[in-house]
Amino acid sequence: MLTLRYKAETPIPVEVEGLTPSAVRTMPLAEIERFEIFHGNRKRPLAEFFDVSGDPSDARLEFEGSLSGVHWIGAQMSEGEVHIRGDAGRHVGSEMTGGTIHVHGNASDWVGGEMHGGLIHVHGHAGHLVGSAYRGSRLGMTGGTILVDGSVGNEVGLTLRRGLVAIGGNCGDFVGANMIAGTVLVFGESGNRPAAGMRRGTVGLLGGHPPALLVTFRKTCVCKPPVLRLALAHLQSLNFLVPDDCWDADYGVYNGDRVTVGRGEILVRES
Amino acid sequence: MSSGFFKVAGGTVYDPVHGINGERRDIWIRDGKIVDAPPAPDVRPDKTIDASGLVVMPGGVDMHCHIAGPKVNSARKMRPEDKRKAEKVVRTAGTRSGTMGSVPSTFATGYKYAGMGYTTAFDAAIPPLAARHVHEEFEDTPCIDKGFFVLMGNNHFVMQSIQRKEPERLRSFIAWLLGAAKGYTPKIVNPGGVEVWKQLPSGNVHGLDENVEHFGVTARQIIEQVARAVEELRLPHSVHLHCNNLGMPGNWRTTLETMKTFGDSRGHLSHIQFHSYGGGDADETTFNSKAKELVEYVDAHPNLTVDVGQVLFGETTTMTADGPLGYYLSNAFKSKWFSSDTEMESGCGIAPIEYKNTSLVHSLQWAIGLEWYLLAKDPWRVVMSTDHPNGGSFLAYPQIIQLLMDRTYRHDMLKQVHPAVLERSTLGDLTREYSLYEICIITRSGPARILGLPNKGHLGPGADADITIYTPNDDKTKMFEMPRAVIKSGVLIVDQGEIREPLTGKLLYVAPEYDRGIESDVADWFEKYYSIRFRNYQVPLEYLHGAEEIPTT
Amino acid sequence: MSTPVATTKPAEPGTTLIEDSTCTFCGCVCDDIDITVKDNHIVDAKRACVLGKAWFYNHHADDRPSCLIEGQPASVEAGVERAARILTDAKYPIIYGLSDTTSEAQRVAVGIGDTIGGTVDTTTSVCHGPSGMAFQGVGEVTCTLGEIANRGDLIIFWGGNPAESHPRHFTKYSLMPKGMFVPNGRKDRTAVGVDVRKTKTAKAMDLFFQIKPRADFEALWTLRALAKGIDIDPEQVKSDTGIELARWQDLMDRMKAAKFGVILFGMGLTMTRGKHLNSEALLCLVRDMNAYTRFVAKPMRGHGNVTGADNVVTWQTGYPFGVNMSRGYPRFNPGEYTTSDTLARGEADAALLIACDPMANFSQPARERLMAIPYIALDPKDTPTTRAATVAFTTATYGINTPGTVYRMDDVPIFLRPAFPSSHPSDFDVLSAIQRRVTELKK
Repeated sequence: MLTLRYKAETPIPVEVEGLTPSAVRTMPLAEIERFEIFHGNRKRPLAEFFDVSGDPSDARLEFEGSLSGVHWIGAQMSEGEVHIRGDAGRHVGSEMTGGTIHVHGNASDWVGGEMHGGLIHVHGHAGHLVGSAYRGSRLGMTGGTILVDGSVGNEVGLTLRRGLVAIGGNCGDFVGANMIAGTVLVFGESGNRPAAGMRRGTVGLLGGHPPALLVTFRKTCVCKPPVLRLALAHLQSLNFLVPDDCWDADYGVYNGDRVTVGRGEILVRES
Repeated sequence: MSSGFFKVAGGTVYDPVHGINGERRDIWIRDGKIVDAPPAPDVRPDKTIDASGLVVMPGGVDMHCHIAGPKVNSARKMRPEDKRKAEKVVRTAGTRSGTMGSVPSTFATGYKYAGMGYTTAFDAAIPPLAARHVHEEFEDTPCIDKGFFVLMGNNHFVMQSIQRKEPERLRSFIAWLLGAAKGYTPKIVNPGGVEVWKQLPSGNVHGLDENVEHFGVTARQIIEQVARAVEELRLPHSVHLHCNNLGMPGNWRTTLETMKTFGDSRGHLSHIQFHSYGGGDADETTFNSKAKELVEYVDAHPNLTVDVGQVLFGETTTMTADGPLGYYLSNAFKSKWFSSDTEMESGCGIAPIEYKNTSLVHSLQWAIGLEWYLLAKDPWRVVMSTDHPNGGSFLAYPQIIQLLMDRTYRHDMLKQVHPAVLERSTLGDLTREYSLYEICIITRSGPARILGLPNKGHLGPGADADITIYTPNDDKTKMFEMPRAVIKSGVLIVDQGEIREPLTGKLLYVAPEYDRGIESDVADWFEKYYSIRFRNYQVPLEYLHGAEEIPTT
Repeated sequence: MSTPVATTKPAEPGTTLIEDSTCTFCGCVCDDIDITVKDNHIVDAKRACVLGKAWFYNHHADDRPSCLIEGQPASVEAGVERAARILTDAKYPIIYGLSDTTSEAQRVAVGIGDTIGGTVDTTTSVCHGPSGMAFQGVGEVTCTLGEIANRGDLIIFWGGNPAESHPRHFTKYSLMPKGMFVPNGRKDRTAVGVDVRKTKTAKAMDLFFQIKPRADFEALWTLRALAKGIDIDPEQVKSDTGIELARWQDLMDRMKAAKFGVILFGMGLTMTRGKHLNSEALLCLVRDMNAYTRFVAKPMRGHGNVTGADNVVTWQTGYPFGVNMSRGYPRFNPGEYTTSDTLARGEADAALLIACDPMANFSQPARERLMAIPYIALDPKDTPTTRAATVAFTTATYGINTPGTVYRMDDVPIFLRPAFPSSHPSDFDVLSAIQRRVTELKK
């Protein structure tokens, strides 16, 4: 395990793109300490911002401290484990293809941006655009799992192509907007206009006090969807807290968004 | 004591204009021009490049690309995702940063063209209302000389003059408009079709003789009359035409008819590959190549020239003044779509596209482009282009060169594309390989001649000292991707891939004479219909920094 | 267009007449203003609207110092030196504003951003940035203003108040002009307003839809559904939008029957809940409509050259606003590199502000950060932003004192005819000097 203890205090963004378990796995500590990161527009060695200790060969990185000003942690990683013992900044796990990231605090915007595989678990809150596409992209997240125990902002799963996103707390507006496929489950309350422009896939609003859905969604039935139980079981196996009353509840199934091909569904808990 | 001379010594020179085919020669440069060797043998050049064993050609000339102006810039704006993962152009002490993808930013465009040994490029389609925008972007596109073609094929004044059967009025207007915009030649895109698009949903013109409502003209009339006016004005370059029915199965008949429409007038048909399709009824499964038939016609008619518009596999962005075409493509590819209609003048459509070698249509498009080069008898009249970025990036030119020079490479690629290409085109049977001499023609000497640029595309005295030096390599892609050195206006601007001196480059334009009486006519027309004042429309020469007028012949 | 040409009287002695001059107050960028200048003061601005007149009349030569360093008069050279040092010392410098200056000056500003490895952003990000983002998502179907004048027969104004923000828009472009295909002008057109309150614009409309606040998205979605013939619940439509389904259906019928429909939209969409997704809904609706008839959308741009700022930043960097160049190449991410964010989060450590006033209109955390960092401000006016600047340059006013190029709201480039000279340097002059110096310092 390689420990990176954050020792800087700077409001200027620190960007650690490229610092992944694979990248440092075979590096001697001295070389890791010289690893170039960005502090605003200055290239600096890692050691100026982090005390580095331990052994990276097991592909496990532990960040310690309040890293809300440190961005791109775990971006593009393909294997290994990253733990952030504190808050994290923007773009956590952006475009990652494998491995696991745990944020034992809050994360900022763009958690798992255009992610392809692996697992991100934010134990606190996160910002906007969790598991979403970057501006202009035809596709968003294409695989993997994102779990957020707390609440998040707007546009969760924007243009989601494949994968699973679960939000333990509340989410903001436009959850699952322009979704192509995949699953987003929100266990708290949701903001407005969920699944606007959805093509296929599933958005689950499990909080019990759902917002008004868009007029282009049509209720087709009330049931206990088996696919939901499977998803909940899967989430539980990942140590995500699934409230007891979700398992056997009744769900209204709303098909839409009919303004597009409209073969998606919003599941709204009714009991 | 400086002699003022710069010498490129002992290179293997290709200069088809002067019939020089790989001969060991010296080239002397002074004051930005190629000059005769100094008569006195003891004159020493201030600077010498030892080019022994290296290939020396004039700088490349791209006569049809889309690199500046509102259409190109809208495509840049619309596609941040195209750049995010593309090559980064990093700032250096002497050069600006930029972005790539299919529509590079301006500084990057200049550096990349120069980096590939190109020293002149013409934007193919500009609405004159936006001329100032182009001039501004051109100023930020370093290292190359530039010009642009002025859209006229759906211009209301042009159509009215034709309908009124007033060829003098038309001719004066064209001359006035070229001078007002500081453009290079009239460009016609889908004549009449874009006007119909503005009038009707999915509106378009499907044949040369369809009437354009309200204006009472046909595509045939527009092409004929403008081509004739260009001949009468003795413009250095002919009218430049994007035919009706681009991309449609069976459009080869429209293309052939169009070629006949020119009569004796010169005519340049752009990205001819997109206009060479057999088949019919808008049914893609009937798609096949009619390149052979069209090549035969062009070979037999020396007044006609073409650029190919080669398709390469991969993602790119289509951008065209052909408004209805943009709509069609975005529906076909279910992609985002930008369209803008410019009052009185033209339209524009932009849609991302991906050409796949698993697709029958795309594979045929790729093959048809190559057929054009390989079947044409006269390389002086078939110019290399990708219609950048429509068929692919200009950065793909080295790959095209390799496909033409190396038939094994070509046949290997042919094996990877859709198998129906073998039945529906002749590419599988073609064994021709281009020589360096011929490559030099289709990438510099030919386009320079077609454009009527007397000082480009050759290495004789009086030419602009635009010279590219290549290291010979059997891998032609590598050879042409990274010249050893590039000289522009007598200045070494690229040295082993690095930009040394990003000079600004000139704007090349024409300003033909015209009957001044037309101006009050045009001013009235502005008063009635334009949203900008007549007085504010024209680009004065003082607005430009470094411009050269190319005289009429 | 159909606005009659003024018969030009010879100018009175002691005055100069400049015809076809350009007003840059709003995105209309009217280029038909005839200006009379007397003693370095504009005394008449023929055809200018009330906003244009205020713009032209309130500019006079003044003798304020061209440069203040920490509130004390200084030479421009000293100011440039200090500015260059602030910018090159900074690790996260931002450049912001740019919408009220020429494209020539904008080009230099982006160059400075490149040299110092900073972040370049424009007032687009607090205005129609969301529309730019929507355009990146779905594209846009649009046209130049003359097309609207010549063809537009159904004109919808959504979430804006052009009667007050763009006073000549109706006359010059969108409602009154007798165009080629609309020869009877206003009589050939139907004007529709959609807004949350009845403004002066509403009074000029044939039909007005007063929708529930923050329900623009639902209204647009209703129209999208109606365009596609999708069955929707009338009660829900009424409760979502405040307007009966039948009225929306009637509007959709008119939209489909139009020959050339136009939707001009404003901050009511971009700056209310939903933002870029509101704009996206509108752009999607317009794109959908093109299956039935010709239809275009146009964001109503505010400042004179904000469109130019978008264009310049795009052609030089590839991205329209919110462009970070810390790494030596451009990166784009609205919400991350946009100025209200880089300031409010306390990330910027220096700023170069050109023709903008964030001290007057940004959020409290953003203003606090700005107060805490060294910054340079260029402005013809004395503002809260210039007063708190470390280095403040009073610059000549574009279009009044300086020539240059601007871009109208529809991307048409227009050249400025200045009325009288100023003793102050232009933005272009000051920025060029700063650019030269930062380039030297960064070597």
